[in-house]
Amino acid sequence: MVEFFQNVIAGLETGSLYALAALGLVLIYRTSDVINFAQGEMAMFSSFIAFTLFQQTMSYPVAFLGAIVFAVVLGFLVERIFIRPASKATLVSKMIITLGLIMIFNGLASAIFGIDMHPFRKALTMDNMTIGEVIIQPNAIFIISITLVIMAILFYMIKNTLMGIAIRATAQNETTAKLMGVPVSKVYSLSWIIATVLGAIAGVLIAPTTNVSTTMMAEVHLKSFIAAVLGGFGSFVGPVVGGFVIGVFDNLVGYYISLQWKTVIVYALLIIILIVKPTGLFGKVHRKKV
Amino acid sequence: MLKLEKVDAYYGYIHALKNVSLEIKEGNIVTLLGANGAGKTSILKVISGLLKPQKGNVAFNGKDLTGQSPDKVVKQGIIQSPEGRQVFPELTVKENLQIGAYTQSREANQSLEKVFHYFPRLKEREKQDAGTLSGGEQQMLAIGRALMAKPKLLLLDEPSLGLAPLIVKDIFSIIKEINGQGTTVFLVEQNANQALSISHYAYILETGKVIHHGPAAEIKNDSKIKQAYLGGH
Amino acid sequence: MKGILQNKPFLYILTGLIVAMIPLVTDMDRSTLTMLNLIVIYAIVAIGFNILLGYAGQISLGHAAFMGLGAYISAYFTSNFELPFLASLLLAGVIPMVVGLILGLVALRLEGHYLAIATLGFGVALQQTFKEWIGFTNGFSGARAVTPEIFGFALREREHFFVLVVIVCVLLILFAHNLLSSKTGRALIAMRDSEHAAQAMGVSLFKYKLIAFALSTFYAGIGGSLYVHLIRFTEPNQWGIDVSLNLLAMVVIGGLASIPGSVLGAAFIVFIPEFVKDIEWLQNIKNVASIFTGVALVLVILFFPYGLARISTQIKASLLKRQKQPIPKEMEG
Ligand SMILES: Nc1ncnc2c1ncn2[C@@H]1O[C@H](COP(=O)(O)OP(=O)(O)O)[C@@H](O)[C@H]1O
Ligand SMILES: [Mg+2]
Repeated sequence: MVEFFQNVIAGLETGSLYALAALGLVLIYRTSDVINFAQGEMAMFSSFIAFTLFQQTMSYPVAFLGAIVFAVVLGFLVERIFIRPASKATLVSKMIITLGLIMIFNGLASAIFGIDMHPFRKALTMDNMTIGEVIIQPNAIFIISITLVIMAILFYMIKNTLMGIAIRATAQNETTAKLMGVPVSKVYSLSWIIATVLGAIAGVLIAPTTNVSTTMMAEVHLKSFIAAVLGGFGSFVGPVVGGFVIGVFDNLVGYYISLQWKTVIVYALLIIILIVKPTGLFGKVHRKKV
Repeated sequence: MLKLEKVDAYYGYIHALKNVSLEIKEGNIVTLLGANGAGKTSILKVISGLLKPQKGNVAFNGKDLTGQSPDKVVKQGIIQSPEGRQVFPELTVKENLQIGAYTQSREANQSLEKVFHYFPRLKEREKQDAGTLSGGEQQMLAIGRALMAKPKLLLLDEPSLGLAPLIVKDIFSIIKEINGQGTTVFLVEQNANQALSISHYAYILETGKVIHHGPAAEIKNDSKIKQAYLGGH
Repeated sequence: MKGILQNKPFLYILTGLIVAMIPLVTDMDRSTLTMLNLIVIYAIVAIGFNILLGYAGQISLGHAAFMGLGAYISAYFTSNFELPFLASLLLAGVIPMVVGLILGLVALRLEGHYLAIATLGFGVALQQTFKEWIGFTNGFSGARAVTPEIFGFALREREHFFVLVVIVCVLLILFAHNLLSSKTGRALIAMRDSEHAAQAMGVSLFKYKLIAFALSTFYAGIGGSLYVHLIRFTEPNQWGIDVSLNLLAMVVIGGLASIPGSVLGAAFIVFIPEFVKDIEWLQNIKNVASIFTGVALVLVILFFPYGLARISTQIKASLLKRQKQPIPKEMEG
């Protein structure tokens, strides 16, 4: 039982990061109709910025905030430079652009930062606590709570502010949103910025586990896609729940079944979802009108 | 108030509007009649900034609007209730109305009261998802949503489409009432008789060209025109 | 004479013959020969990928893994069961195709982006399997492959191997060409031009997408087999997403829905690293080939949607824009 709880907590910790990244994917998909395959590479880039800033200043908050500021700029620029010129292209063309961005960012990162792995510190480095026999890392609690806080703020915004309503309106029917005077290009920029920031946060928080390197986001990236499919690309809450579920499942499989085959088993879960409930747990069958 | 001058517009190589000129006078209800595919919606798209004309221009109160983005057009006081209602199905009725007031800063609540005055049904369903409304209610919501922007010029694309005759009658009388409160209306319809009976002026469009225009009453009584272009009755 | 030169199958065979002879009559070093071999092998995979992307409009991010699967199968069966090379080659195509069919059955029923996501995961999962299934793949130590023998003749020299890959490539090109001229091909072409119109004509989008995907995995497996017998070694890291992205880049940069374009694209991508090596100020930048490919991919999608294969036609067309010539769908807007 102790091991079980231990794995659930670890699962919630990584699951938080999958949830952040998955929400980024869905936010972009629902507003600008793009599957952003480059999200992982963009997050990797932001993490390198955090790492570099930390080396220079030795201040974790500066590094963390620096990465977020960088992500804001990056998300804005990527949408402006690469996605907006293709706004009338097919879904496939836009996917291809983001795949090209993977190559560009990965290449740039190795050119600028090198291909070595760099250890990176945790957000909180205090001693572990124990509850019963379950060991709890303060950093894990920090990650789970910061994710929950971010989600709470975002969902409040999406639900209650005019901009949030505009984001949902654009996601449902872009042309009509335009007709109502919603500046949809601002909505695009905003959702790319938010998504890139979510990815960057996931990157900086996973870095202590994976080290900072050009391949650091591979796992989070894939699992965030699985989380988005599990939760449903048609819902904002779904991918978040999906992220936590995948995180916990992943850890339990790794502990009780096989660490080596964990990725394959989690992938099998994706296939099962696609067979049984392709719209995801929270998904509705409805497609955006463009 | 609004003037289109010699507008030509294309979709790829489809020539949808050919040398279209028309004028909407302040305070009027002007109706645009024509068969399916005549180009009525395209004219509204040009006005709203969704379709950029190749030639010609659009002017609103003397200001050039040609090729402006839709949100700029809405800020000028022109808003559209599009064909097929196009309510946001997963937003509540109230949220749909809030989006209509996107360009208005603070006084949205006041407009809300006004919309609920025209369409009390919407108030009852304020918290319901718009996708769950009936067709007639959705049309009311679409018009109400447009009113939230406090338009000087209201563009309505086939508000009677697919609705039961009784509801159509209601909608038309509300359009008349809205006009009576000082909003100019540009009404696109296939339902010629009823549209003409509430309008001041009318244009008839065929395959992208304006082929006739005149005071609504004249057109209504001109059996030749009705025979030729408006499918008789 | 003129008629025969306009006969595409004849042209493919003639070009193949000439290309296959080049290394035999000239004196090339081993690395150039390896490169030529690789170009043709990637061209095979790219042609398959192009049927998938160019006609069915679907993206796969797992084709490197399918290629790897073909490579491991061929290496395994020729070494451990002494299966004749040609039989292993066929097996290396068929098994990935069966796997592809199953995956396609699941993912192609759904909206456009699900195949990309399903194959993204498949690529990672299969690569992980290559690492862990030691009995079959020998894990990180890698698997060796024998020198292929055909009817008792060992293809030890790269010139000779090149003749083999060109023959296989030409055969697969002819197959693709015939397929595209058949009823299936007409359905695929209708689908490429407009999914809606194709559906209205009664084309079962699912069926033809499935056919396209299965074929593309067959071509990938064949390419993998040829690769492993050329290099005579394979290990899991060779089959990552980077290779799948390169395959995508070959098809898009070369030209969607174009057989010659696929070959051109393969050559382009194989050449980039060589080309970059010779430019001094680029030499010190790591991974510059990847940046270059990514930029080329994005630029082609944005500005030359028909790729290298039709770049000159497109430039001419845009110069003559005033004369209203029908632009195929993707270019509108
Ligand atoms: N998005 C579009 N793409 C291509 N052609 C269009 C598009 N929208 C309308 N058309 C064509 O333009 C013409 C006018 O259409 P429209 O303005 O919608 O007519 P109406 O509203 O009078 O029914 C029709 O021939 C129609 O097929
Ligand atoms: Mg219309």
